[in-house]
Amino acid sequence: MHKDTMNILVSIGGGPEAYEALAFAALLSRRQCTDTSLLTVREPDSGLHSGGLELRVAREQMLGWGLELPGLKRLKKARDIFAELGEIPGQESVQLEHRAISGDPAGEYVVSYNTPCGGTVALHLRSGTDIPGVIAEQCDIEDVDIAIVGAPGENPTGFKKLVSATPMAYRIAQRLPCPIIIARRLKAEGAILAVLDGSGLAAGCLPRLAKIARACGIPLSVASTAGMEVIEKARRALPLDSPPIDETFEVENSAEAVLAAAEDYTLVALPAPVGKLRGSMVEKVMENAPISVMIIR
Amino acid sequence: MIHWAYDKRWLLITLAAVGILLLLPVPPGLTSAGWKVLVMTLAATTLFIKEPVPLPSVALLIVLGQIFLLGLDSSDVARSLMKDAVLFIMGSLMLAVAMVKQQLDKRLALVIVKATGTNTYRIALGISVVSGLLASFIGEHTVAAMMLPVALTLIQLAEEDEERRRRLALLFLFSISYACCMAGIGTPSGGARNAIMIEYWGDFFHKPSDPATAIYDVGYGQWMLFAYPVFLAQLPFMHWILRKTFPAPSEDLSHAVRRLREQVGKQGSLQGRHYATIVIFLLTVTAWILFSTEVGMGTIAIAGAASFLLAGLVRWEDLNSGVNWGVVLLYGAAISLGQQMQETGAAAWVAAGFLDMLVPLGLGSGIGLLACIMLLTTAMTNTMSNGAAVAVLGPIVLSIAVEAGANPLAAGFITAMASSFAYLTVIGTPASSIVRSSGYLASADFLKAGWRLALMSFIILIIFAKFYWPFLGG
Repeated sequence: MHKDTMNILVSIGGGPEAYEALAFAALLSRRQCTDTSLLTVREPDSGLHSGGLELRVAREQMLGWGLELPGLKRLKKARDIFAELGEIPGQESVQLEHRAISGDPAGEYVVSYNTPCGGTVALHLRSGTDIPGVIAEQCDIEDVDIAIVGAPGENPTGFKKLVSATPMAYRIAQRLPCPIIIARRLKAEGAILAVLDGSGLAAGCLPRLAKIARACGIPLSVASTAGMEVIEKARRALPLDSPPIDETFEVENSAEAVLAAAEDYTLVALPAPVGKLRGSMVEKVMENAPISVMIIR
Repeated sequence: MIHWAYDKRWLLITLAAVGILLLLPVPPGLTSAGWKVLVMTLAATTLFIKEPVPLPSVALLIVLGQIFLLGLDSSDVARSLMKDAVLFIMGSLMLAVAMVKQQLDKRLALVIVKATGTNTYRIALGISVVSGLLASFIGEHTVAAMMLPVALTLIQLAEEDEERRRRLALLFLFSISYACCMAGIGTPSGGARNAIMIEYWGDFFHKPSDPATAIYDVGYGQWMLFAYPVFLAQLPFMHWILRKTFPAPSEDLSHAVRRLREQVGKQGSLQGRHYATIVIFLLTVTAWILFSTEVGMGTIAIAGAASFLLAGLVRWEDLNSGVNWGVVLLYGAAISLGQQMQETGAAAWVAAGFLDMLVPLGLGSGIGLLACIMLLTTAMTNTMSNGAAVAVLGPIVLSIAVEAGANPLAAGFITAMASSFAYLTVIGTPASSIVRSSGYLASADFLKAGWRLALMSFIILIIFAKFYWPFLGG
C-alpha cells in the first residue's frame, strides 16, 4: 500500500553537501509534512588501533571536560540548521530514546521533534563498522522513501584514483534499498529531469518525483532511453493531481548523453536496482554529474 | 550475499590464497612446517592490513592453524600465548586505564600553561614535551587520552570560527600524537612493540647457560640507554616541522589560557588519590628500571595494576571496559607465530631471500642494511598497527641480522623504533587514532606533516645507529 506521507533520511557525515541539502529536506518537510531522519553513523571504538586501550576511555575524558563527541556535534549542527529553517519550533525534544541495537555497547540514541505540520524530525546517532550497511538497515527500519547523502569532493584521477577507496557516498548508493539522492549543491530550485529506461521501476517512481517537483515548485521533465512511448505510458499512470510535465524527449542510453541532457537541470533521476549499480551507466552519471543525482529504486 | 562477499573479499581472497599456496610444492631450502608457518604469516599480515574480520579473530585463526596445520599440541600452543611480554602488555593497559581515570589531566593542563605562558607555539611545545615525557613511560595511548581534552578545551576557548579552530587543532593535536609516537620508543613500557622485541631477543638469542648471550636479555635501563636519546633528539625538530607545516591562526592565547585556568582552578588542590596515583606510578617505573631483569617487566606491570585495584583507586569494571582484551590475545598469538617462524626456519629462509636482493645493490651490510630494515618497517607500520608490524617483522629482521653478520640488537632496535614512524596514516599508532577521534583531523593532514617527520626521523635514527649505538654494544 502506498503511504500518504514521505519518510526522508539525510545521512550526516560531516561534509558540506549534506548540510546544504538540509534546506531541500526542510522544504519537503514543510510542504509534504514528511517524517525526516537525520542520521550520523560513527565507527565503534577499535581497541587495536588505539593500542589496546579502548577509545571509549578517551571519549569519557572528553565528556569529563564538557566537550562534545564528534558524532553528536555533527547531528547538533544539522538540528540547528533545521531549527533555523523553522522546522523545529523549539529546542524541546518530544522523545529521547537510548537503544543498544548493535555496534557500540555505549548504545545508540534517537531524539525526536515534532514539526509544525505534524511530521517529525528525528536525530539518530548510530554506530557500526559497515557504515553503508547501517544506513541501509535504517532505511528498512524507517521505511524510507528517499535517502539523501552528500556527494564527495572532486573525483580523484590517475594514480590517486587507483589507490583511493570508493568514496563513502558511492558505497552507500550501492547498498541502499531505497531511492537515494547524491546531493551536490542540492536546492529546491532549477528543474528535475527523470530518465526512464522502460522499466517499471523508473515509471513507478515518477509520481514521487512529481510530488517532489510540486513541493519544491520546480518543473519536472522526462527523458527516455527506450522511446517516447515509455514516457506517454508513464505520464498516463501519473495521479490526476500531478503537475504537468514540462518537457519530454528521447536520450541515448549512454552516460555522456545523459550528462549532456542533464546540463540545465539541478537534479537528474535514473533507475538502478540494488546490486546493478556497479559498472553501470548510472554509476558513471552519479560520479561525473556536476548536479545532484537521484538513483531510483 | 553479494554484499557479504564483497565486504569479506579480503578474507575470501586470503583463504583461497592459503589453500592454493599450501597445495604448491614446498620451495627449496624450506621445510614443510616452515612453508606452512610462512603461509600463515602472509595470511595474518593480509588480515592485519585489510581487516575484513575483527582482528582478535585473526588470533583465533593463528591458534587453529598451529594446531591443525602444524600439528602442535594444543597445550603447547596455549602455553606459547602467554609470555612475559603479553603479561606486560596486559598490565600496561590496565595501568593506562587506571591512570586516565584519576583525572590528572586537569593538573597537567595547569602545569603546561604555567610553564609556557600564553604564546601558542610555546604551548604547543609544552604539550609536546609533557606528552612525550609521560608517553615514554606510561604508553602513548594513555597520554593521548589524557592530553586530548586539554588541547580540545584550549582550542574551543581560543577560537570561535570553525576554520581557525581547525588550524589550531592541527598544531595542538599533532603536537600530542607525534610526540607520543616518538616517545613510545623511549622505554620498554612506551608501547607493546618494545616488549615484543625484547621477548624475541630473549627467546631467540639469550641462553642462560651462556654468559656471552646475556646482552640479549635486554632490561629496562639498557633499552633506555639505546632509545631515550633518539626520542629526545627528535622532539625539537618535530615541533619545528609542525609549526612550519601548520601555522597557528593566532600567536597569543591569553584569553583562552585565562579561561582554562579559571575552569581548571575550580578543581582545588591535589587530593589523596592523586598523590597515591603519583606514588604508585613512580614506584612502578622505578621497579621497571631496577628489577625488570630479575622478575620480568610483565610482573611489575601487573603489580602496578593490582596496586591501583587494591588501593581502591580504580574499579575492575573500569579496567574491564577500558582494555580491549582481544588485542592482548592478538599480540599473544602474533608472538607465538613469530616464534614458529624462527623455530621452523621460515624466518631465516625469508631473510636469506631478502639479503640476496640487497647484496647486489651494496645494501647487504652496515648502515645500508639497517636503512633497508628501517624502510621496510616504516612501510609495514603505516599499513597496520605498530605492535602487529613488529610481531610480524621481528623474527625476519633478526634472522636477516644473523645471516648478514650484523648485530641483532641494532637490527631489533631499528625495527622497534621505525615501527613508531607511522606518521603518514591514522591506523599506525594508537595516539593518532585517539587524536583523530576528536573529529578535527583528516587523513590528508597526516600525509602533509607525516612525510617531513618521517624524513627527519630516518636521518636521526641512522645517525644514532651509526655513531651512538656502537658505544653501547649495538
